[in-house]
Order: sequence, then structure tokens, then C-alpha cells
Amino acid sequence: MNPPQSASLRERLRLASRIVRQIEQARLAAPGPLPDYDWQRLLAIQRGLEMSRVRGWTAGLSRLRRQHASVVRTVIHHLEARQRDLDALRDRQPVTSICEILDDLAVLETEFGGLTIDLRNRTFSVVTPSIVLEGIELGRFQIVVPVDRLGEPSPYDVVALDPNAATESSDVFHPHVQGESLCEGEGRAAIRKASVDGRVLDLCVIVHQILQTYHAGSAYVPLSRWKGRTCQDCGTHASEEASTTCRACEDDLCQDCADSCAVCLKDLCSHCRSRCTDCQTAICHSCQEACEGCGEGHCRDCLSNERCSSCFDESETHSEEIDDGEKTLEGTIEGTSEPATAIESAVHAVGMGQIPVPA
Amino acid sequence: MKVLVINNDGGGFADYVTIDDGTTVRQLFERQVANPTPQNYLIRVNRQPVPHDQVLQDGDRISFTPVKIEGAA
Repeated sequence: MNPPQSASLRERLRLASRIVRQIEQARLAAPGPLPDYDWQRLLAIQRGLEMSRVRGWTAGLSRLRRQHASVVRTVIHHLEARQRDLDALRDRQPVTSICEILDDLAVLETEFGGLTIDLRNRTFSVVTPSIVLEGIELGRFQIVVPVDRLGEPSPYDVVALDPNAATESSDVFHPHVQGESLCEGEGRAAIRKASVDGRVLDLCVIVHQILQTYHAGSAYVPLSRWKGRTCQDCGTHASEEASTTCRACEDDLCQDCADSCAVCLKDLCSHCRSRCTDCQTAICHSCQEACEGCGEGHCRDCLSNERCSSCFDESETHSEEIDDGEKTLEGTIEGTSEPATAIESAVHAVGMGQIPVPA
Repeated sequence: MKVLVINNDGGGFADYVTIDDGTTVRQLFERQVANPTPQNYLIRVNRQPVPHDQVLQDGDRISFTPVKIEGAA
């Protein structure tokens, strides 16, 4: 983007003359077609009704009458639209003169600190000062007017020169600008009138005033959400300060939904964390360890010998039972007259499903 | 005498109106604008800001543009 520059008198003159020609052409644009088709339908229905009356036909009469009323309404609608167009044509001011347009261009240059004329592309543009709304700097905007669009309702584009898009929508550069299109709201009718009349100063000034005004109730993105983030867990919007990012999947989170892993202390979303089955502490998947007994995830502190408390207790009980069994066995061996080898054989025989045969 | 009045509020009225000699900008503003609070408008005569007591001349171009124009989405 080149800095705003002064347009030469020759450039301004050529531009002004093109603007006048464009406005004249726009005014000469042929009005819309007359409702010929509907009129022919109306005549056909009229003939049908007349024939029904003469011949005394009653079947289908009510349908014909409904059609008649409907087509009459359509024709009236078209003719009223034509009436409005003719009224608007009658009320139009004479085409703005080249001198008046030159005056407009001179004031535009003074007011916006520069005027860029691009005769090859048939456009002119001005640059607004940096727009700041409710403390949020949205940067400068270039108002580009293609001459060929003058006479149309919104004959300009609004280009963000220092784009500061809303976080949640990368093509919203202003609460009322999406892409290069300004939603004019209250200014729509006045802009259209300025366009039709060729009042380019008023056109740019109105656009500038809209850019300097914030209407929270009808913004593409309200300024209250301009720089915050949407929590991917609960869907609410939180300011930048009250937001964080899941360190595992990098989703945005509000502080209410974020929970830190008890081991690595990283903020995590609900999908990237689980809870220790024993102590219910939040823990990320990578810090979680599976119990060798039940396989469920636990924090390191709740595992003893790689087992959770339940599995550990079970294994301890089992060990104690084995120990008790061994002690009982030892006591029996000590208190009997049979040799230990015989008892061992009996134990093994039961254990292996075999019966020792004496020699 | 006749002056061109451009009211960029609402429908964007722009037409020649007849006024009495000696009419000031303020008087015309109060006549043309529904809620005439001058500080809420850019008031210009022949494209330049003027004091509210300036007396209008035949053929002047007077424009009233609201300072705040609410956009939409």
C-alpha cells in the first residue's frame, strides 16, 4: 500500500469527468420490464371466467377466481414498483457538475490527508485515520470507490490496511466490516442517495462516520469478544487473560474448564486428561500409569509395586495366604511320624494329578 | 433565496429549499433535522465547517451528517 498522495489537477479533472459520465449513464439505465407475462395470464383467466359465465359452467369457477385475484395482485405489485422508480427519477437532482465533483475531491484530499486516483483501474480512494472503538485499535481503512459502481447502492469497498481481525472470525476487521464489505445499517439510504447523486464527498464521509461508530447489537463480532477466545470445552467466550490453551491438543480453554495435571502441571482440556481411579486427581494421559493388576490408569503416588491400592491389597492378602499355607504345612511336617519325602510326594501327587506307586 | 440542503440522516434527503433572507445555519438545521442537537452532526456550508450563527447565502450547499451512524451485520 503506497502512502496517500496528492492527485494532480489533470487526474482530478479526468476523474471528475468520468464520474459525471457514470452518473448520467446510471440514470439512463432502462427501467425494469413491464409485467407482460402476468398481464397475458390475467387476460386468459378473464376469458375463462367469461366463458364459464356464458355457458353456465360452475366446475372450476372458484379455482379460476382464486387465480384471478392472485395474478391481479402480482400485476399491481409490479406496477407499484414501476411507479416508485418513476417517482425516484422525477425527484432526482440534476447530475452533479464537474466543478462540484472537483470541489468534493479537493475536500476529500484535505479531510483524509490524501486522495489516490487510479485512472487505469477507474478508482479513487481515501484512507481513514486509525479507527479505535472501545479501546480496541482496528487500524486504518481504505475506502476504495470504483467509478463504474457509482449510481449503485454500495459503490465502494472498505479495505483494512492494518488488519486486526476478530479472533473468532479472520475476515471480520471491524464490528461492521466483513471482508471488504461494510454493513451500512442506518447509513444505507443516505449512501445510496449520495451514490445516485454523485456526491462523492458525502459518500466517503458517511462511510467514515459508520466506521467510527460501534453498534454492539448488530455487529458481526461484538468488541467484547474481539480478542478473547472461545472455550472448546464449554463453548463460552473468555477474555485473553481468562483463557488458556490445552497443552496436549492446543484447544482454547477458559480457566474454569482447564485443569492441571497433578504430575506435570500442564493445563489440559477434558479430552486430554483423566482422573486417577484411586485419588481422583486430574492427570494427563502421558503421566498416567496403568496398574499391573487391573490395568486402570492411576497417578504414580497411588501405585505401590506398580499396583493400585485394591490390587496391591489383593496381592498382599494372597501372599499372606500363601505364607500361612506354607507355615501350616511346615507345622504338619514337624508333627508327623511319616518321612517328609512321603508327604512331599503326596502334596506333589495331588498337585500334579499323579499317584506315587510304592516300589 | 434557494439553498441546497443535504441531510445525510435517515433517507439522505438532498434538495433545494427556499429560505428567508438572513436565515442562519442553526435555524435551517433546526427546521430540517428531527432531533436537532448540533453537536451530534457535522454541519457544513459549501463543504466547510461553519459557526452555527453563520447567515446563509443564495446557492449555498448545506450538509448535515450525523457524527454517529450505526452500522449493522
